[in-house]
Amino acid sequence: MVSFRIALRFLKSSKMQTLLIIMGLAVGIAVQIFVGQLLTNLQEGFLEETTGNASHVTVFPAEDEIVIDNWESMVASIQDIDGITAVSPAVDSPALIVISDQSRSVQVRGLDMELADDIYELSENTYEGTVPTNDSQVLVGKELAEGLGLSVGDDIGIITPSQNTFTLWVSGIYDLGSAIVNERWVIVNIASAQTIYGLGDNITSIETQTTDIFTADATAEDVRSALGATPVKINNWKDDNPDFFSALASQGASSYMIQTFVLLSVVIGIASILSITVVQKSRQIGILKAMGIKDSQSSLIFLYQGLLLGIGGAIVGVALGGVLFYGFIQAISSGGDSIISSSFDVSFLIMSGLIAVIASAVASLLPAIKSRKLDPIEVIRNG
Amino acid sequence: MADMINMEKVSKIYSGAVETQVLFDIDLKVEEGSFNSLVGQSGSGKSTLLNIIGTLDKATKGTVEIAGQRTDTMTKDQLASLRNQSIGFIFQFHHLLPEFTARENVLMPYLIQHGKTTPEIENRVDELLGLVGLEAVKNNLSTEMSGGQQQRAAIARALINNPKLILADEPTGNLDTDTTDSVYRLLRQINEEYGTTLLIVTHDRKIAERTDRIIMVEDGRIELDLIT
Repeated sequence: MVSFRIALRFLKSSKMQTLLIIMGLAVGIAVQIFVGQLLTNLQEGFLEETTGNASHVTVFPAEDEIVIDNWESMVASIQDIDGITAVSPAVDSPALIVISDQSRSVQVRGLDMELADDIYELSENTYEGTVPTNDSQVLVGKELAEGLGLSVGDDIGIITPSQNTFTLWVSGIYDLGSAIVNERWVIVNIASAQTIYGLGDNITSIETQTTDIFTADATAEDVRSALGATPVKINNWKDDNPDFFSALASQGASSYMIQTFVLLSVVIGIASILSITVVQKSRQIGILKAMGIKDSQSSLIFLYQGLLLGIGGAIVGVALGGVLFYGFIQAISSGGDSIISSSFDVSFLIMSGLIAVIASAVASLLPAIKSRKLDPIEVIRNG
Repeated sequence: MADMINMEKVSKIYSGAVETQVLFDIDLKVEEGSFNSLVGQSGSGKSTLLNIIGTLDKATKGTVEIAGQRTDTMTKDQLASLRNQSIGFIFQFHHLLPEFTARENVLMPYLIQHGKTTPEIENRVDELLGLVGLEAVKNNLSTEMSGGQQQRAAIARALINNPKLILADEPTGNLDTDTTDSVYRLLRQINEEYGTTLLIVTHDRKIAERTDRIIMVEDGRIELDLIT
């Protein structure tokens, strides 16, 4: 207890030094929190942006087939798999749109509007008009509509590869956040697409979403076993985009490295300042030892100082890091939506604070050992 | 009367680039409750002798007993406890802790032993501060007190744990004549009131002459041992 009292008094009596150490620690922790939280949220936002409106596990016809039949029972069994959050049948085929003297090569996508909503959020992303409500309606993307000067209520002609022509009425215009998709996908009811391409009741793929894109490959395995011997091909987003995942992993690793080195430099800084403190306070430690303080008690004085500085630095650092991060997000999203959310991971904040406390306690070990070795007679003899 | 200090054949050699022997086979007994002075020229070895008695320094050879306990065989922690409970130190340069007030400095040896204060000890601190005449400045930081006040605070601090032995190294070394006299009278009063054994290293002839026994050290040997 006497060690704690002395530690506290030592810190109080050199206020400027104490403040500087706490600020040094706080800035380190703030940077660590800022970088950590920024990269975590950036990764989440990036992942959501990239895979949020994409099929994670997709069932295609077998190699030598062009359609999937009996798909209703397959959809039902896929829906029962753990980790699957959305299942949507689709009919895809290329087509040509011709409007007066312009033509565009597009992909006609026949979707079940209700089921597809779980993946593409079509109703939400349709910013003009509505999603198709009957077989003669079509939903076109923003860039395609702009390029061809289309608006809701216009008619468009579609020419299939087998040279059949159909006229569809534009019910709405969507924006899925990707110009390539917006320009290429022309969305109709599933029944409409089946009629256009003469597929009867068959479809060309089953699209799904999963709870965790990082385990899409495992979920694909589950889909495979759920479908048993049915001859279909199953792809997953993770295996289809290996570069994307290796980029995410490198980004995560670099974030940890930055955080580790920031903390390391903070710890080294505290250790060196506290070591100097031992020299500064060697006279006092000598006097205390002459008065009968034990070596362990004198070591505790410096450990307590490290702990107190750590707690102070952690509190200020977490607050500063939070403000810095929040301010940064506000600043970059002032011009519109940002893919980085300003949400905080509380356990990350607590962990960072704890690391700060532990790190500065560890940093105080060296001065604690130094004070243990201090011989009172040196101080007494030299005045 | 029993011996408070009993040294036999104590030698001290500082080893380094050149070996220097500062004490040669010292035999010294100091009676409990006595008031003694240790005199000698600078470099005579008197401070080293005092530091060995105070367990701050270790004898190279010989045995040292303080209050009946052999100190030359004790561990560092045992020595720390002995210093805390049985020995009070008064140094020439006061050696108060500058971060603490006079009152807190006086309380410190008690806190080292017990960790916390009691109403009884708080009263005792005030009583001791009264004894040394520091009531008015008891809440001043030690840096805000005069040299004489600091020395008196150091005396009060040496008394807080009721030590059997007080060792003072030039307690009046840098004090003026009036303050020197009042410090002497205080030490004498402590000796008489509490029966505390005192051993004072001093350059001051007048102070030495007023103690009960003068031990004179010269070139690391006791040259003169005089009961006054």
